[in-house]
Amino acid sequence: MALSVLVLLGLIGLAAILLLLLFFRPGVTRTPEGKILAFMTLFVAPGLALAGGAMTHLDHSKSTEFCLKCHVMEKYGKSLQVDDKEFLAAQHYQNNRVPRDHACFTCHTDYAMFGDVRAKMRGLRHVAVQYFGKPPEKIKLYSPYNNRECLHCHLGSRTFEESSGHRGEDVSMTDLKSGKTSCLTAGCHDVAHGVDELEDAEFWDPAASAKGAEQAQAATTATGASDSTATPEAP
Amino acid sequence: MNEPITPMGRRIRISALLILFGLAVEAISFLWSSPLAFFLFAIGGGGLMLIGILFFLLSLVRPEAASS
Repeated sequence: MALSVLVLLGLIGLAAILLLLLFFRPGVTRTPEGKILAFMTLFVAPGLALAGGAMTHLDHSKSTEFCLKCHVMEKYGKSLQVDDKEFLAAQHYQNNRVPRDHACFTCHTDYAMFGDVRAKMRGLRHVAVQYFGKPPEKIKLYSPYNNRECLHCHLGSRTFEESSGHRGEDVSMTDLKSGKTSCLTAGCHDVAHGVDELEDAEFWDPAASAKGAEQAQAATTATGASDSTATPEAP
Repeated sequence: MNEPITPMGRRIRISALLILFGLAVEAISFLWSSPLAFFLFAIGGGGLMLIGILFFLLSLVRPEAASS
């Protein structure tokens, strides 16, 4: 359990004790100290608990685990594991270009003023539709994906700035930065999640990959040892 | 418990009870990992607490509370 949740639960416990005191002994509020206690218990503590609770819930809603709880998002979660360099979301997720525990939010928030608030308001509507409405079969973005979200991380990075693809005749850096040429729909990075292609896709297995890498390293070490035994260095 | 309850004291008890229930709902929402937990927090817990807080604040500005 997160520290913020523990702190809030502690605050709630303390407030509950004081509230019980006020409930069973309302007479304590006759004294000036009692009035202050009542104000702190009936106004300040619940206000803090509400503000802290809202922040904690909003923070939790940024997690990948939270986004993938809805059935309609299952395919999108699966697309993060595709073993194909063409799959943009998978490449970002698997290579830690986005934090894995906040993968969805990192790419799908607006990096503009009140972007987080807008993203969360949309998220609330999505949860409401999921549980109280009829989620659509195929989900789509509200508006075309803005280059601003890509450039928030990539702008200034060496691989981005020096890439010949970003400085070619067809695509200029100015057009990318102004949004005239879309990163996603100009034909370069056009497979974002590729949920329609998942049936034929191969998937990345982190455990198997790690095991394979260990075996390869062991084989290299063994080869190196046998080589050094076979051909000792000349004095 | 044996002391006489004044109208102000009664309102404080009602506010305390509402806020207490609101806090309990909020605590439950932290332990529930469903996306619906935020709705429980905002509508259930938040609603009860806001009503409790408003009830307390209104009781402070009522004429009998001001005179007492």
